[in-house]
Amino acid sequence: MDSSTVFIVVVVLLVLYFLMRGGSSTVAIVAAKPAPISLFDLHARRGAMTTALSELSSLQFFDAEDAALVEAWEKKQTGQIEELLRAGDTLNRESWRMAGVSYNHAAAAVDFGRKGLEQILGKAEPLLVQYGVDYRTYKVTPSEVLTGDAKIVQLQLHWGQKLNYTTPAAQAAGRAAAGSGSWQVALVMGIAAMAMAAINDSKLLRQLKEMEGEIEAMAEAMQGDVREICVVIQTRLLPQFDWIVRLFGQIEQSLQTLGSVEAGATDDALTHEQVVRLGMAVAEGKMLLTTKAGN
Amino acid sequence: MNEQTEVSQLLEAARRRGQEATGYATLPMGLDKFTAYVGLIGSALELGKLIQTEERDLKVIDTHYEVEVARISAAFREVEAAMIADFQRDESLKAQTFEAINLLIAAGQYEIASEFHKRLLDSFQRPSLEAIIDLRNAGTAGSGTRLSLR
Repeated sequence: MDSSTVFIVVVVLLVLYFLMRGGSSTVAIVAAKPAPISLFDLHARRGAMTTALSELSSLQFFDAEDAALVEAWEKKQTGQIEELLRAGDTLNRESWRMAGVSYNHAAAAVDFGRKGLEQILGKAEPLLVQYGVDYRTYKVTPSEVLTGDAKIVQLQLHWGQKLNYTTPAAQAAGRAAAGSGSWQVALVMGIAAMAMAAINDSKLLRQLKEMEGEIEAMAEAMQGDVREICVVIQTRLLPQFDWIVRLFGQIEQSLQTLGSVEAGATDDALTHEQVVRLGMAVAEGKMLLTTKAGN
Repeated sequence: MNEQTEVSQLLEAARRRGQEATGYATLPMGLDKFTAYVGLIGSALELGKLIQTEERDLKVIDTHYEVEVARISAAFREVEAAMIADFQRDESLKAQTFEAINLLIAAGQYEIASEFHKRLLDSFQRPSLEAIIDLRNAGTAGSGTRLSLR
């Protein structure tokens, strides 16, 4: 066998190996069943939710009262002001993005709890049917993801960036600069250029003030969103999750108790009470399955 | 003499062609000083006006955004207060109803307890998260930010 034949054989073997490896992993994914969710898993997710909530309070936003910015305004240092404003805008956007991530993690935890509830309700229903209680199953649909859009804050082009070379003054300046005009013209144009630079700075200050205002309004809205996300997590997501955990535990306990009782036996008052409680828990569970995170 | 006229005509023709090509009039040489002085006077006047109104303009811009920030803050406070009120009402209703249900079950009144329970589940009608976000977007329209659920 020559070297080219060996090379072709090696390539064919490698291709076959990768195809087989890819095929087997596909089979593994299709065959995989969702892992059963336990009460322990749910408690771990709750811990992650409270951590996300505490992280929200440490997010930083643009502060118009920042000492460096105030000083730059006093000294009218346009370059420094622009730099600080851009840094503030970046800080706002990053913190806002993090707040959205925290909310989505908390909502995903609620969806995880709903999945766990779906699993345990599936176990409870056949038992309830035995006791003459009929419930249909509901499918868990994932909660929506929170996203945010913020407009781009930018300065308008100013004098230095949009010189108009077609004006008579610009033509005269061009001639003077090229040496074909008089020195008096060059001097006057030099003074005019200084005046234009001062005009430009004054206009730029106004634009920077506008930019600062826009960033400040944005920071206020973004900070408001962080507070609102905190309230949503505290008053909606965590109670929803706690309700799921309570039901999960209650159904698990009822299943253990009723599982040991002879099927269909409801004469005993305690068993009857357990069946009624399980029926109520299943009804609440159904409501929570159809309720998306935060609703 | 003829030669001079010819040169003048050539220059005039060139100026005309330049005007046609660029769309604006080419400045005659003699106007250099005049346009320079006019430009300087114009710049000086504009600068004086800008400096005179600078402090006032900056203050006006500041005030405009202060009002906007206050409006945004108030919109958020309203939404937050509504959410907290919903939560307190739901929790109180839930606690009272569950207490009644437990008492009924303990007394063996299973059917009445089930009815109470059904009513409890039907009574949860707080605004959806989408509605809260719509409210937030309406209240902060001037902030340049927008939230959505997808």
